[in-house]
Amino acid sequence: MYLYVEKKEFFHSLHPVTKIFLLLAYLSVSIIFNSPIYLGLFLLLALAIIISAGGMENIRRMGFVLIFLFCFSTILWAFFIKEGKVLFKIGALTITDKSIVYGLGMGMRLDLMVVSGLLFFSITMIEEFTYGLFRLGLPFSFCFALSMAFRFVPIFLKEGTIVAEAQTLRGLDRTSGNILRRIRNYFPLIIPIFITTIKGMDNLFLALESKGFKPQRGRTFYLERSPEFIDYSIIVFLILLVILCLFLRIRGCGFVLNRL
Amino acid sequence: MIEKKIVEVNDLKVTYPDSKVALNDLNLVIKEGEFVVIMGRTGSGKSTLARTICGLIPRVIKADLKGTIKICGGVGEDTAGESFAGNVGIVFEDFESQLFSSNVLLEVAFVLENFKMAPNEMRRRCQEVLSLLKITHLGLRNILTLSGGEKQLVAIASVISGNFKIIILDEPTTDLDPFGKSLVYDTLNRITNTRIFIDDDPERALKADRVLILGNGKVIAQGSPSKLLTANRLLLENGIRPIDTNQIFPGILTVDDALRHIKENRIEIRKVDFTPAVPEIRPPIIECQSVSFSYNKGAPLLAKINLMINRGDFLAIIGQNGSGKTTLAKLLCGLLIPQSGEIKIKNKNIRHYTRRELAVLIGYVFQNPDHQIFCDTVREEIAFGLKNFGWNKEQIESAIREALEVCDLKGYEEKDPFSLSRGEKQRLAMATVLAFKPEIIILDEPTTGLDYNQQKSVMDVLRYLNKRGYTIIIITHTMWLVAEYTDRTVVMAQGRIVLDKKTREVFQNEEELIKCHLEPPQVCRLGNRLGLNVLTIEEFKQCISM
Repeated sequence: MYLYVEKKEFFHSLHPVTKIFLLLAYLSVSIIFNSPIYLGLFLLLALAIIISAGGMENIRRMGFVLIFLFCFSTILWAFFIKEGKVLFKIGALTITDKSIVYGLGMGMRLDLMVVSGLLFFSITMIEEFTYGLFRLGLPFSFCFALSMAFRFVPIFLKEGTIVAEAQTLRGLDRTSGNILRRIRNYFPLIIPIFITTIKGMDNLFLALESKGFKPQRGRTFYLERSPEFIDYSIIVFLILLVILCLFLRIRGCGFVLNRL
Repeated sequence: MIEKKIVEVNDLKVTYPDSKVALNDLNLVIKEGEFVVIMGRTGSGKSTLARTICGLIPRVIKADLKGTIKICGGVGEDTAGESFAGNVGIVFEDFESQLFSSNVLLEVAFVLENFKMAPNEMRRRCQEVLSLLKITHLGLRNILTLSGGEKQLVAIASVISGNFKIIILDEPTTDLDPFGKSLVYDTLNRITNTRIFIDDDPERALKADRVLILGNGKVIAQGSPSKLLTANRLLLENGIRPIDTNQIFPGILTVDDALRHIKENRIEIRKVDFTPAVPEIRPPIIECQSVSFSYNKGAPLLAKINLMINRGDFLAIIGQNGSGKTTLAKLLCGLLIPQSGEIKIKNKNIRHYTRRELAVLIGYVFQNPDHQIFCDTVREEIAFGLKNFGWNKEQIESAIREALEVCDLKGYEEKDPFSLSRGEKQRLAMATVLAFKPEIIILDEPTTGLDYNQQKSVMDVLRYLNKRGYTIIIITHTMWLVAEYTDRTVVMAQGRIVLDKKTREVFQNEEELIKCHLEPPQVCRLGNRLGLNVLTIEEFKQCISM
């Protein structure tokens, strides 16, 4: 689960702060609208950016999750919305024209949120994220702790993979049997993963300590640089875009039902 | 010139909370700019000493400390840590968990960021350190994708960049190929900081200013390398393998000196033919035909590998860091599936085996024993696999008994596996695999972190099994062990097999090995210069005995 794509291109070269604004703008847009058309347009744009930034592999990896979220949410919401013209009834459940469209919109919204995260982490290293948050005025210890949490995901998964391999080689089969049996076969993973991770954290702490890490003392950044003209322009553009979207929504565009 | 003392330790006693005395009345003085190598068997207190010098004991790691320790003139306890930062940098043996950045450059820069170096200067310094350790090409690589040896070089670089007054390396070279190891010694030779290197490699330690042997928490012996490293008995008693030439000609430490000695004393050398008279013909057990593999459509890690392993082979896979050894081993035991080509085990395509059938046939011992331990007692640990394979109680009991006996772990049945020492864990990991008697056993770096005596005991177990018909495949960087124990060696470089011959012939081909960042053991190098085709010290002695 390592999403960052090493590539020299326009989106990668943006200032970390700009990238954070891009993420925030995308998340705002996904909340402002609930019409599948508006959300779909933004979704397509985000996917296009990811592909141009070399993140096709990430989309492929997340493809199943995206489709699952979309279908799940579409179907679920279709049963809960009562407004609109009734199309058909299944027992106590009614399906209306609006419930279907709203469901599609909600599916798009979830996908858009995931995809904006995907976009962000495809073009942003964890260290850039930390630096960006710091430049936005958050205390460094907070930024560092947050980034540590992100860093541990791939490390955790890698440890887990090795232990799982070792167990597979000693005859533990996680691919056959009924679902309960399969789930039970995952239990032996828990202890070794925790032990190696805790040991790892301990060592990491020693390493940080011996490399003179003291968040309260202040520091410099390898990635330190000032935003350029293009960054300012994009940030202004993103802010205006979000305001425009809000304005549109208030004026009656971009929604199926007038609710979140 | 008055040399400044930079480390001054007086009557140091360190006791851990479990009342284990790690250091006992230790006295030590290290001068500014000195390059000291510390040796000793596992458990002799080497790591504790390192951690005390860098201030982690008692500041971060709880332990009772008696006596005094002065670093750069300051007394450790008074300064409560603050003054240590910037004075002492340390690289630990467990290198994986020390690395946490997204790419190599940022890892190396981290320490500089902490010391508030200006970004421009920082970029220059990082490049300088990367080129010192010859890893400039890795700069933007994601650390998780590096091989073990590459990670170790990065871990070392990430501390050297800090330009600490004292740099301590606590055995972070276990995964390095011979070239990488020499590189670390050369790098340490080129910098002028005070260097403390914990490492058990007498031949390379000749480059140091002073060698120190630790035992039972005390300094047992110290002196210049050329003097101390001739004391074979002392070294052996402390779990260190003496230098080959010194075992043949006492007092001689290098190949060049040995050649001169032979010439000056007109020692007669006679050629002995060590090749077995009748080459054994054995049926193949593993066949790889044009096997290629890569992760996620990246550059191929293995390209068109052809390899035939015979029943009863004792085979070594050697090669430089990142050459694809572990990947090959994982393909052989079915953990990875080749993109193209075919792997046959006992004449049947590996894809046609079920997971379980394959596990019974091929045992795989991972590099880090911690990854293979997950039960509460040693007994359960060994039974884990056997239960999965559906063995009955009596079969399991007798298998446990036998495996513990072979691995010299009798009486350990009820112990907690996590409380064992590194060497014991390694043997337990082997026992868990041996218990179900796989016909093929693959071991990735089975001797990492073990001292000479422990290495020998692990290898003796493998030799015993091999004699009883098991096929053994080991991946290793320890060349003497390849020479002494294996009968066939596969050399890999950049995802290809470069050499695949009898071990004897492989070590004869020094030129090719050097190209692959490898080096035969010293006795082979000496033999090669004299036109003798020897693998071990015993064989060499036969060539000079009357």
